[in-house]
Amino acid sequence: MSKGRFGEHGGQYIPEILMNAVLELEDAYTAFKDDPGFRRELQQLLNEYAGRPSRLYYAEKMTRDLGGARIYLKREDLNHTGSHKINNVLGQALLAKRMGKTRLIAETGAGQHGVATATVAALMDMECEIFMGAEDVKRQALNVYRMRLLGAKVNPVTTGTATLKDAVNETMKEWVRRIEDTHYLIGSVVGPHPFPAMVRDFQAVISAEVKEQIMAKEGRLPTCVVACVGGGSNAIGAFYHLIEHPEVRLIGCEAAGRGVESLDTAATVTAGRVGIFHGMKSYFCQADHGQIAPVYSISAGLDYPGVGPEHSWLHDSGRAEYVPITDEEAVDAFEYLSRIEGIIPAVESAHALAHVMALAPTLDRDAIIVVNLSGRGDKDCAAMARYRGEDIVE
Amino acid sequence: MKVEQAFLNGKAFIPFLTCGYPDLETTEQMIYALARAGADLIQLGIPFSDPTAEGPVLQRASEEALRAGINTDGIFSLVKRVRAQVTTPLAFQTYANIVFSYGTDRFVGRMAELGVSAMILPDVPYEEKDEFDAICRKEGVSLIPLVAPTSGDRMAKIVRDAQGFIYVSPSMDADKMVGALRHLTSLPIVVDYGPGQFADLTTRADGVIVATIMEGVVEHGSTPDIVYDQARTMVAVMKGAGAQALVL
Repeated sequence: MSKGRFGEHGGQYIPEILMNAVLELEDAYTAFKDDPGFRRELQQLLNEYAGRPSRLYYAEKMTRDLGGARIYLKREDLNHTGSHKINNVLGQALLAKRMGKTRLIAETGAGQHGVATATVAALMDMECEIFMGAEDVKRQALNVYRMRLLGAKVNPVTTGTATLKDAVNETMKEWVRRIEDTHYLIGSVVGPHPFPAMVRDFQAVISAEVKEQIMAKEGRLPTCVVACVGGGSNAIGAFYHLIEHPEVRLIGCEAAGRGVESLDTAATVTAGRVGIFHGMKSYFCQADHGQIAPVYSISAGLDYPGVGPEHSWLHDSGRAEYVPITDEEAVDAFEYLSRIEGIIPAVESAHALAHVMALAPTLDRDAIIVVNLSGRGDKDCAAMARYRGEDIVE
Repeated sequence: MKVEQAFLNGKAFIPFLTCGYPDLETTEQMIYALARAGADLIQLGIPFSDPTAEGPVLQRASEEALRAGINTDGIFSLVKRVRAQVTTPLAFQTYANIVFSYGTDRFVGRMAELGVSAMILPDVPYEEKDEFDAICRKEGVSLIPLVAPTSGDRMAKIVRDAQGFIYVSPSMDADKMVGALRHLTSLPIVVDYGPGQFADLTTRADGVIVATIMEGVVEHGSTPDIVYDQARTMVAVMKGAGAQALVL
């Protein structure tokens, strides 16, 4: 079995032309990840630039209203650029810089990762190009402007379904075309080794903080950690340091779109099969004969036909549970948190909140749920209004 | 049949076809036309939803073939019909998931049964080859290794124990790589000049993958007759005196 495996999942299924770049990245990552200078510089950026540690907020009103477990929100939405994505881009960009790369390329779905990459490119004086599905360019016009404002070039992708998976395809092709000076800054725990492990390590700061914060506030670990899963970076970040505590339930919330029985879904673990795509073996939504299925979710950030290999392994081993959440449930949760706590969540994070709304009342009052509020919802307001039939344009 | 047979008749002319574009009947006629024109090996592309190793024109061909309902079983049936008519060696080019999802055992077993001699999987590098190669070897199918201009030191291990031929992926340095590979292997070396690029038929390599004919089918609607004429001209240049530095 090759490197970077999580059970049977993971690996390095990429064209030969990329292999040396990926091996070089792995070497650099291995060399720098425990290097005190690198760690110090990253820590300083996380603290001073991104605003870490993020708060662990006790949602008292929500807890009272749902009448069950105590609910804490891990406020990744308060990070600079408005989501957990900044944790990973700071790490990878710093690494790319140390490798002598001068140019960053990245895919983006909702635009969160694109904005984060463009941000760090501006900060570190690097050239930046973002690939974004033409459909998403339409859905997230404001984020496209943000990326341009930050100095990045945004390339709309019109091939295939013109969404996130096609953006990954095109970024991969661009990396093949220009590999010398370019680092492909993958935004999630997907792709060939070392990306899934490396991105996880950069996001693991979330669960490291959660552990410390919950011990300080409650003197014990949470009963459950809940997070939304597209590729799965915020979820693995929120899970990672708790995997070794089997008493903590880990729950990933997938985007079911219009329902897992429909074709309009992106619930990979629930509806998918093991396959090989985007450099990894993992679960993928597939049509017959191994074609990657077009997927759908109201959330552009979860609208991806695959999931990170470590999640597939956590599923296979039974260590984590994965539940599907429909558009309707997510929009309800989006509205609910806005009203009850005065916090507008990203529609991605609203998938996790939706599950918490169902789960909390079924648990004892001394149970503790930590839900990862992976991003803020400003970007989604127009789309949510339209979903509710309001005539709003951005 | 072994894929090595493709190299017994001088420099090998290896045209590429996307199966099912515009439909399987046309693909079948194209195969006959290419075989008659003297193709030494025909590379049959099995369409994948996300053909990351293809250029834009052939990507379009794959997408349209899939939209028309083409699938792996349909292509196996096509090959079965073709095999009754022609003896030209055939190779499949596709992506790991097409083979894996069909069941690698079952897929490669079908290939062996139908006499498809080689398999090219651009998203399976040396590090991941074993899960496919073990079955290929058992069935007598050659899993073709790809080398790239960025391969560097990896080239030696990639070609060691390889079977069939060595596939040089598209780059400006393809011809330079042929020279380097000669010192490492006695297997035939085949060059792919890449999407939209005319093949240098006078290359020092032992064979040339030609995608331009298929691109002509997509962009200009070339008929099997036109495909035959183009292939014949190319074969003549390749197998002729070979002295003229004619680049088609």
